[in-house]
Amino acid sequence: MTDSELIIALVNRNENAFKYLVEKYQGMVYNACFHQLRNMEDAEDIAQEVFVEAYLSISGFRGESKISTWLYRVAINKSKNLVRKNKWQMLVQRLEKFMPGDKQVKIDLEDPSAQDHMEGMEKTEDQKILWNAINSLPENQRIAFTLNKYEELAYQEIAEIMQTSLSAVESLIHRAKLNLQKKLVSHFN
Amino acid sequence: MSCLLLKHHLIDFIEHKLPQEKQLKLQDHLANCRSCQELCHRFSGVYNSLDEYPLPEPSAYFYSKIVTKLEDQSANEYVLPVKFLRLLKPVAAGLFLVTGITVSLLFREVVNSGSLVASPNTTIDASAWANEFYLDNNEETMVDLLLNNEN
Repeated sequence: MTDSELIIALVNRNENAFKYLVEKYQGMVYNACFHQLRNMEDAEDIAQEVFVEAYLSISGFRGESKISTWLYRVAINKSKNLVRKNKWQMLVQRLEKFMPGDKQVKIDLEDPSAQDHMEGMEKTEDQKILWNAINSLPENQRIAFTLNKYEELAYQEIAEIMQTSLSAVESLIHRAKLNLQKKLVSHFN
Repeated sequence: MSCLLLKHHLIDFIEHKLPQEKQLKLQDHLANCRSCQELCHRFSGVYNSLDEYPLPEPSAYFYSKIVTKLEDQSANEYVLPVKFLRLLKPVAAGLFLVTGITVSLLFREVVNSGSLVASPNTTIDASAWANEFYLDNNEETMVDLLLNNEN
């Protein structure tokens, strides 16, 4: 089934076509989410939401890009929103720690810096170091770098996913690599 | 100098993305520099560490969970009016407040304009009162004295 046939079938609310879409792209979407969120449960939840949104808004898909690019874009945006939401919640929880007078209702919170970003996975010390270094990159650099290194996407496709120019993607990945280099080299020294 | 060059191009060097001349130059340097060998070995170990583990896969119930979410979504569409009403609450409260303030401002303006209170210079016609309230002469004089502040 070609992309255009699939889109027509999805617009007509064909259940088999939707099942085909999920089966074909679930691994790709799940991995993209996992590389952004580094948490298996969150990745699965967001990946499911990506397909829900795909089903609900397929009529708005103009077919200017590949379905995979569109799904990547939705996955990246949803993951980005969750990362931001989690950061905001952490900030609020941290602030709550300093609120006077409510010591009894204070929840014992984890230190966010000590959070396990690869929850549910066995990992080596090297992997932890790399995850932390990638995680400390600015948002757009992190997204462009992970899409290139782990999803093995071409710069042009990354530009389409991030809705930016090719040169901007080149610059983002270049800066991401320089930052990673700096962080990892300083870690070894 | 070459040590610094390697540090600046480590990732590109590991990924063989440097121009051939530079790549060869750094390879030559690496063959003779023990500290750079160690750094390169350690760095590539960390940098490539994520390529080594098998990626997790979505659960077996992935599709059925999506279907459940879609059903929940369509069920929530019926709840939309309630949600909508909930959203309207602060709007209604705001409108009520604005109306209250506007009415009080208008009332103040009306009061200040004097249409409800007699201005000090207004002379009240006591005979009109006498006719209206059936006052006798003495009462009329009293009203005239009282309201028009005459001695």
